[in-house]
Amino acid sequence: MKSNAKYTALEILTAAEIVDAPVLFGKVRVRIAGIAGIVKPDHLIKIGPSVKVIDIIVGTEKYEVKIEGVEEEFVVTEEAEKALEAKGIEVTKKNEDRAKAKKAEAEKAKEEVKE
Amino acid sequence: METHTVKFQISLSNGETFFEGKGPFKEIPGEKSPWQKLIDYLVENKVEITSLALYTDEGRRFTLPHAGKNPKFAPQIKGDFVLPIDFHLFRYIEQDLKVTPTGEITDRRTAALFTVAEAIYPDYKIQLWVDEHDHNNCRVLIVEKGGDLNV
Repeated sequence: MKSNAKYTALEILTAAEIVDAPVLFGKVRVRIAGIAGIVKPDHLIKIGPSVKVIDIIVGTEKYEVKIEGVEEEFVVTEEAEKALEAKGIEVTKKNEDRAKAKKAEAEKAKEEVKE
Repeated sequence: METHTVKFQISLSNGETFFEGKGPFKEIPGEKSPWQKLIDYLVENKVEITSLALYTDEGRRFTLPHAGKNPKFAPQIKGDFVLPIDFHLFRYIEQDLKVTPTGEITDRRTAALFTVAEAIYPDYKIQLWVDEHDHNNCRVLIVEKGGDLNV
């Protein structure tokens, strides 16, 4: 695992050789690099170029992932890319739903004024 | 250094209770924050947080839902409530800055300072905000995953 990159939480737990990593999220405490409240495997974590070790806490156990070099240019892993794309689709859908609801509300208000 | 007026009180699965500002969790310049020390303590001693509250020196206490099997709050004993999987604490600060056209900061004032305790659930967080300058100003927010402030 190299620094200057964006990973998913699952990729980092897997790199730490944590058994059952995929099923731990949302069940026990997961903290990565001081970030609390990680409850989804696709939580995105940016590892800056100066990072040498990633500290991980799962439940009451502590793990470490040693960084082996720095990416020359900032990298987003394939899994992180997929998570980003999925999040984008989800946010777009939410925004569209919100806009539709707002429009429907405005039309209803207009009709009420007419009556 | 500004001393916090809203501090954490924590109960652990081994029966211990700790207070920020007392015993091993005093704020000492140059050392880890009391909360960071607590996280280290949890890992070293293999214990879980069962309860997180905020307290003030005048005796107020603001408590998040309990995560242990024996909550002290009666309605939580009787009801079928979802338990938090983790807790977190942070301080939120807003500052007003006076900046010259050359970018020099000539005045800096704290506009808001809150101590925020979080109970973390699989799909959301409950945040308890207490104003460090006005303990009557206490708010609760429910934050969907990914929907919080970037703090």
